[in-house]
Amino acid sequence: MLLALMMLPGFIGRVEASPVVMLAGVQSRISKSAITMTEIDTGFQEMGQVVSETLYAELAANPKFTMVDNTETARIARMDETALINQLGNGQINLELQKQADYIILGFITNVSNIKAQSGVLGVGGKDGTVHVEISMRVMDAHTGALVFATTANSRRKSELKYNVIVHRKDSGLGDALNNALDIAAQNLAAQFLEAV
Amino acid sequence: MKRAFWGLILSFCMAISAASLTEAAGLFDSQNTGPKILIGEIQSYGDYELQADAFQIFADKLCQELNQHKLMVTGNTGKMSNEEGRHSEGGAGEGALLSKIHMDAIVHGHQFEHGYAAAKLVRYADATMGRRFFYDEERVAAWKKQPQQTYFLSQGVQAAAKKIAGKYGATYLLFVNVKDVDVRLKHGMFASHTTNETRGKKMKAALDYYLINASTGRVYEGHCENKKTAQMYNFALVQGGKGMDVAELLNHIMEAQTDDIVKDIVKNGMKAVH
Repeated sequence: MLLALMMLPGFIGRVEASPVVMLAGVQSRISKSAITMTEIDTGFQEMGQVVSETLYAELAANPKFTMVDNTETARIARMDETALINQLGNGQINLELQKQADYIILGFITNVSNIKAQSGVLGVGGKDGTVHVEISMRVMDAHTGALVFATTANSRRKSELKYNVIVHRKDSGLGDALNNALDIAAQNLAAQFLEAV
Repeated sequence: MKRAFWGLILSFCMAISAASLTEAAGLFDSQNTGPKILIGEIQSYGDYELQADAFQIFADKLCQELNQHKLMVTGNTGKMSNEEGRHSEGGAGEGALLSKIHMDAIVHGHQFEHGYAAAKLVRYADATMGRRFFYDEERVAAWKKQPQQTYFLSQGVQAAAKKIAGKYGATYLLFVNVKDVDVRLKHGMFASHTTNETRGKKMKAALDYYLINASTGRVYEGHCENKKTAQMYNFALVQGGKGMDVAELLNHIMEAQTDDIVKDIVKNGMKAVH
């Protein structure tokens, strides 16, 4: 009788608790081709951090679920993210993560390229460059290892603009365009996640 | 009377406890209302292979398309390309069984070409159908003329498909065989510059896909081919065109292919295997 009374508040508290979502990390899936037209020199680790921070910031405020304070887990995950994701992907349940989260988000950078276009005749015309970034996420049920949601998002930002018609103009900024594109793509990804829950 | 009252309270507490365990797993329950599809394997059983990452990217795009058509998606989160199962011979693990189910769907289907298949698939075809089977050219040609006709998996394989689908709560299994990806550098006849930027690239990709009804083992087969070209030209005083790298070309092709696959299985596939 006493036991039942003592357990009651705990159970009610558990019912009210929202699901816990953890961002395990963002890694690159880009395979560099031998036939590459353009090279972007920003490291994938830096790109991953931009995506991670935006995703976390966009998702953390939502009341439907709790984003865990996963500082320690994230540190471990970053140290050996591939091994962690492989372990989770093998259907092996990570007991440490299972205690901390109900859902685990795995992020991936799947495409980064600089598309170039040009047109003109007799010296009148222009050229431009567009950074195209694509990222994806998979959401795993931490208790079963099964996929529950996966989606992709992309963003394009002008990295170079050069024309010569009546006036001459030349702007370029690949680094800024890349960061903006990653940021917008991560926001789009977060919006799709929020739409699905 | 008192005992009954406290017994009731205890039962109530236990009921709440049981409910709370399922609470956490319900975050995505209401997202889609359609049937659940298990992504079994995105792989190549053709002559050549793509890198594993390319299949994973394909799987992500496929999941997104399925979501957009209100279909629920499931699978082994990190292993939708099933590299381990694809490259192991035999075995009873889930990966090996998914590879077997995929191969069984391929060898019974209309698109299978004995001469252009991966070694593992050829061995499976010979073991399952008999070596002579594919040399009866008239019968094979007659079968290829009925591409819309559904067929069944082998009995043992059908049971394995049902068991795996049951584990994930899926109604259908979907397999994709990206059997051919071809990249050509176009010659630079009209290019005054011979750097990579002015050289055109042409990419073609062909794949087959198999939608399987988990409870009956009935298979619907589809095929699609897509291509994408990019070229910049600088000819005397005229310049034009668009240039992109191979990964970007592949990205465009994958988007078109996943779109084609999902539209077809929604319009035809699910009805055909129902």
